[in-house]
Amino acid sequence: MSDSDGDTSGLDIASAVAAKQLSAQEAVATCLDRIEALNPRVNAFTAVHKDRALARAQAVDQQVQSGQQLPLAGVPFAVKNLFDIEDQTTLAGSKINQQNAVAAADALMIQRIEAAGGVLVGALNMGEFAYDFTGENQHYGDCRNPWNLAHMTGGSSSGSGAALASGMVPLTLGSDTNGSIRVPSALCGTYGLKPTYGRLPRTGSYPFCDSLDHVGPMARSVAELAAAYNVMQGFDATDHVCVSRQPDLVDVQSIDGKTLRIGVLQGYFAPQEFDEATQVVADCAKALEAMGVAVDDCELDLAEAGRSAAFLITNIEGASLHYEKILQRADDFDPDTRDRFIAGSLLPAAWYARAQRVRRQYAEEAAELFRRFDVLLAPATPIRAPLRGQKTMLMGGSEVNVRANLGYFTQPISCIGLPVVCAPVMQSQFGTPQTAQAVSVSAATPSMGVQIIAAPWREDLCFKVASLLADASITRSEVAPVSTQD
Amino acid sequence: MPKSSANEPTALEAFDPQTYMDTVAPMIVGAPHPAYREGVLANLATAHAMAKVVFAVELDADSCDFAGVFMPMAADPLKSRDT
Repeated sequence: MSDSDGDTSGLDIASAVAAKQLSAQEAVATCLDRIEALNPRVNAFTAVHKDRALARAQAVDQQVQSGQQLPLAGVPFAVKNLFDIEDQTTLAGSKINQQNAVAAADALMIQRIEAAGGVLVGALNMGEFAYDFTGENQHYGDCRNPWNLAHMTGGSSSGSGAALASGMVPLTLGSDTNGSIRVPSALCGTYGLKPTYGRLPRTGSYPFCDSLDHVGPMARSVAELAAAYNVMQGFDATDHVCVSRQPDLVDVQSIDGKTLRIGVLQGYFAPQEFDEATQVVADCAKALEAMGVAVDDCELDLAEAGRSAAFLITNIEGASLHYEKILQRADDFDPDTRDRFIAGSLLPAAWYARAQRVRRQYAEEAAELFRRFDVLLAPATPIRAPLRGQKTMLMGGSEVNVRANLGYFTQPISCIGLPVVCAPVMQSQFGTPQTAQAVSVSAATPSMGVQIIAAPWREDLCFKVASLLADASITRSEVAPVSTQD
Repeated sequence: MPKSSANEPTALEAFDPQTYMDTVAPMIVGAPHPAYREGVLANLATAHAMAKVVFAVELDADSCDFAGVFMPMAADPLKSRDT
C-alpha cells in the first residue's frame, strides 16, 4: 500500500495492518516522510516524535501478530499542542509555557487512541492559549492553509486542520471552546466533531475556558471521525464536567434517515451578506430533501445573545486563568491575546453572571426546538479562508475584527454545549462566489463548512446526516496538492 | 446609586471603555502599558457591545439560578418529540 499522496484513509491503514498486508512501522514511516517533506511549507507540526512513534508502531505490530483486534491499528495521528504528551512540555501555543515542567503522562484522549492501535507522531501548531480563530501564531509561526499557503487555516486547532488537509496524517485531535475545531475544519476542508459538552474527558489537556472547553477528533471522512470518536468515549472523574455515561457508539446504519426532521437555521444564521455560506447550507438541505428527509426552516431567537454570552464568558474565564501571567509576563504573550486577556480581567462580574443566566435561557430555547427537529443545519464560517495577516472583514456594512468573527456561526452553538459535526463543502459543490467580498478575500481556498447540530448526547444523529451528505458527495474532504517547492 | 430616570441613559449605555479602563485597571492589573492601550480599549468596546446584547434579553422569572458550571440539557428528542 503506497501513500505518497497522503490520501490513504486511516481505516484503510488499520484494515491493512490488521490483515498483515502492511506493518504499522511502514505506515508510520511513510507518514513521517511526508511530514518531513511538507511541514516546512505548512507549519502544522511544532514537534515530531519520531522515536516514540516508531517504537509504538513496533509494539502495535507485535500486538497484531499476537492476534489482538485493534480498530485503529497503525493509524498515525497527531494532537494540538495543548494535549499532554509524556515527557514533553505542553505549550498550548504559547512562549510562556515553554518553562513549564514536562507532562508526567499522556492526555487521556491520546491514551485511548493508542490503546486502540493509533500511533502518536507529533504535536500540532495552534493559536496561543486557544484564544484564536485565525491559525496565526507569533511564537511558532503561522500555520498555513494547504490549499493556498497565503491563507489562514482557521484556528485555534490550526495544525489539526492543516495536517489533515495536506495528508500528513489521517487523524488529529483538537479542542473547541467557541469554534476551534469547526473553523479550521471548514477552512481547511476536513471533518471535525465538537461533541456534547461533558462527553469527552479533557483530562491532560491545557484549559482555556472551563465552562466552554471541549476536545474532539478531526479527520478526512465521516467513518474515520466516528471510529476515533468511538474509542475516545468513556467517563473520567478527573474532568469535573465529564458526565458519567456509557459510550454511545456511533452506528449510522441503525438510524433510518427518512425519519429525521432537519431544521435549517435562519435569522442570525442566514445573513444576506454571507450568501456563499448560506448557499452551502441551502445546498445541503436541498440534497437531504431530495433523499426524502423532512426539511424546514427554523430559528433560534437567542442565538445572538448566546454568541454574546459566550464572548463574555470566554473573555472573563480565560482572563481569570491567565491573570498571574498577565501581571508578570504580559510582554511574553502574543499582543492579540494579551490585550484580550487584560480587557477580560477588567470586566464586571455582573456581566459574567448575566451571560451565564442568558446562556441557561438560551439552552432551554434550543431544547424546545429539538422537540420539533432532530438535526439543525447552519454555516460554519461567514467566509472562506482570509489571507494571513488580514485583520478585518466586512460585516453588517462595517469593518470588523477577523479574529473575533470567524466564529460568528460556531460560537452560539458551543455556548450551549450542543454536539456538532462540521462537514466540508468544496468549491465545485457550491459554485462561483457571488459577493465582491467573497471574491476579494476568499476565492483562493476551496472549502467552506456546514454545521450539523443535534440535541445534547445525540452525536449519532450528527453522524447520520453527515453520512447522508457524504454518500451523496455533497460534502467531501480531499488532500490538498501542496508543493514541496516554492 | 441615583434614582432612575427614564430620560437618562442607563449605566450600560453610558459605559465608556476609556474611562472604565483608566479607572478600574490600576486597581486590577495596573495601568496598561501605552503599547497595550489601543488593543485593550478595542476589546473593552467589543465586550461592551456584547454586554448590551446580553442585557437586552428579558430573563424568565424563574431563571434566576446562577449557572456557574454549565450542564447540557439532557433532552432526548427521539423519546420526547411532539407528535
